[in-house]
Amino acid sequence: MTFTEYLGVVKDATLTTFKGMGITFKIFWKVQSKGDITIQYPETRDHLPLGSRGLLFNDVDDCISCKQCAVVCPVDCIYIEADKKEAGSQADFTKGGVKKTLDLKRFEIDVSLCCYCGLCSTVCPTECLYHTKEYEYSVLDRDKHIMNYMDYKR
Amino acid sequence: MSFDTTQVNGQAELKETLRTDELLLNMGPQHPSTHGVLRVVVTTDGEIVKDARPEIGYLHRCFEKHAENSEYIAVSPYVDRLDYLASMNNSMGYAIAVESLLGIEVPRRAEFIRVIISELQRIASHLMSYGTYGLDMGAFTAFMYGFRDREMILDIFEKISGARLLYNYMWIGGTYRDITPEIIKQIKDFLIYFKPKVEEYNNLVTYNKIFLERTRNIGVIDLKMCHSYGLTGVMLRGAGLKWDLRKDHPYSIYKEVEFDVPVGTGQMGTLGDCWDRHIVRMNEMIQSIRIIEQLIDGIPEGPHRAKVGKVIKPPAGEVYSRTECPRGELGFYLISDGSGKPYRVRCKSPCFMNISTLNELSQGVMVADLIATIGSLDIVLGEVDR
Amino acid sequence: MTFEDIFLKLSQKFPQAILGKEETKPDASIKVSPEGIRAVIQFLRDELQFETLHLVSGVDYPALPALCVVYHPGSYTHKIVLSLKVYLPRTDEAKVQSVCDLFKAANWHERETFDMYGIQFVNHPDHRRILCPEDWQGFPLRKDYVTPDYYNGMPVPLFFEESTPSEGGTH
Repeated sequence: MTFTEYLGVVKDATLTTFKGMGITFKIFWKVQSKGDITIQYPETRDHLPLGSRGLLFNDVDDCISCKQCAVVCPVDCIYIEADKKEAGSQADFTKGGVKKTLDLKRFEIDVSLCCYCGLCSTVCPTECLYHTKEYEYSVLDRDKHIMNYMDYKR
Repeated sequence: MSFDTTQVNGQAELKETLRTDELLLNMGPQHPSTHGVLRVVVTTDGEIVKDARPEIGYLHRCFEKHAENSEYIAVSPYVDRLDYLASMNNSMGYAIAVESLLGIEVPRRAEFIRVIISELQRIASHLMSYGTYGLDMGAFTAFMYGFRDREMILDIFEKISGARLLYNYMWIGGTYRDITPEIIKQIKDFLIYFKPKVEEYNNLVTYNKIFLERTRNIGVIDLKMCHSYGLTGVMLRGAGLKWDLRKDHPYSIYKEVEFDVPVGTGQMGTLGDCWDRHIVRMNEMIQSIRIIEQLIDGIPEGPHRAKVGKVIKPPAGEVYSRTECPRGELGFYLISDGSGKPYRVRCKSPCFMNISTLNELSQGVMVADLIATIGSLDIVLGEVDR
Repeated sequence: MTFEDIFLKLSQKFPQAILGKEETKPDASIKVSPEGIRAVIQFLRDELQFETLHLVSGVDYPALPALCVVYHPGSYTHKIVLSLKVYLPRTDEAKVQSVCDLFKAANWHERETFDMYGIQFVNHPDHRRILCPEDWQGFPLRKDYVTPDYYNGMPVPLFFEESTPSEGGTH
């Protein structure tokens, strides 16, 4: 290229670089005056909004063993076993007044398979299965991720 | 190639002395600039690339086989994970395909919410593409600024659906949850903040002389190549054809909004080079802001989901429905046999065709230009491998 | 140009290759014979302004029994996407002509159809698997496919012992 063209390239490069650096400095001074925008985890934690989909929890006293959650789960991570109630046993009701016809024997969720899609908590008719805001539950052994909710029975 | 002069009969003659060979370079599945687990087997002669063959399949998760064994509503979380950076657009494409099989109509409130959320997701996806392209070219600041703005959009989505990246929000017949006035105010505040930012990002990266010299006249895809390879979306518009599914085959309520379709003009180099595609993406963000501004104030009252019943059983039939996603036209070819599970779900992903052009685009360029080309194709391996 | 116009033009030009149409809702499709599909696609590209090929996919119908290859050529001039179906016998010898030299888009799509269904494409320049590993046995998307237990010494399914769920879904 000719010398004039070369000078034109140098001029373009200098002008655009200074323009870009000007934008960077403007944002730099704004951050200096307003303060840090990075949240220093784990000393401070962010507030999760209402309805965040974290770890699942099932209140087994309200569960009527309809198995809708296990059927709709895309990854089949909910394991339910329920037997028919023996004749003559005491009638059991949930908090909302629905009569339980089946006896829940086993309710486990393998949370390492769960994909947090929210389908199971939507189809639960008594709303006993819901998402909490918990997201810090790492374990050292993969078997410990199979959560047994019958332990929380009253 | 190296030469040596020897004297033969008083005349100087050139003789080749150093033996050279071609280098087989494996840009392996783990590499910072391959945008995912992509493997490119490159044969170079010095710095010039002779052959660049992409090998895919490292993220294959058998989506189509899973979809044949799950109910229609349980396929939605799988569809989210196809193009995980633009998850709302994927879900909308699948929901529109099943709704055309069922023949139901979506309530107007749900249509408004769907279009607003889709355009916000388009802005977030283009910000991600802008950030990672700047990172490939060596501009780390662009990456940080792009991600800062994308965080604000992700905060809005977290309030709406409960998750940050894979939402499962667009259900068949409408949306998962309703939208509240607080979220509408947050979207309006974001638009006021973001509107001047696109010009700022153009001044920072797009018109910078170093970025310009690295991306003009590189990776030229002309219209004939687009048609032969079946490329759609930004590739077509960068090559000069004004084709956008939202205008030419409108779905949802896109007939009622006004927006332009940006095309590449070859302003800074050849028509259809990497710079053209980049400026088309930046201009699309401005048009998305325009669409949201027209819709945000007039959301009608009503239900947010049509009544579809507990088990979705479409009548037997087939459909091929396409929607405009940030990376191209996403197509779903659905075959239903009347039962509760789909018979065949075939997903036509735009990135699959984009990456197949790499061999032809990189003949005779340098290795640094190969990186610039891969960055401008804007691929996401989740969609390529499914 | 509508679907009916195109079907009439094709039936007049290729009376042996076009075997009829399937009136499925909402998208109808045209049945083509395996020997005539290449000529039909070339005619669509050269005469009827179908500039691009969007998709080539495979479908398995064990009930018929047949394997099917579905082509979706698209036109920007007429704003329409056609659906062409080719039925092949469900054996290991299911063969059809490749259309790679007409549309370069067919290259990778046909490789994927071969990978998933085992349909051979004659005259394909690079006929090998694309998504599965090179030495994988079997064709995964067929309806009677059984996942192998081991691949090169590594276990393939997620669980071997009886810890599958008692209700819902398949494993």
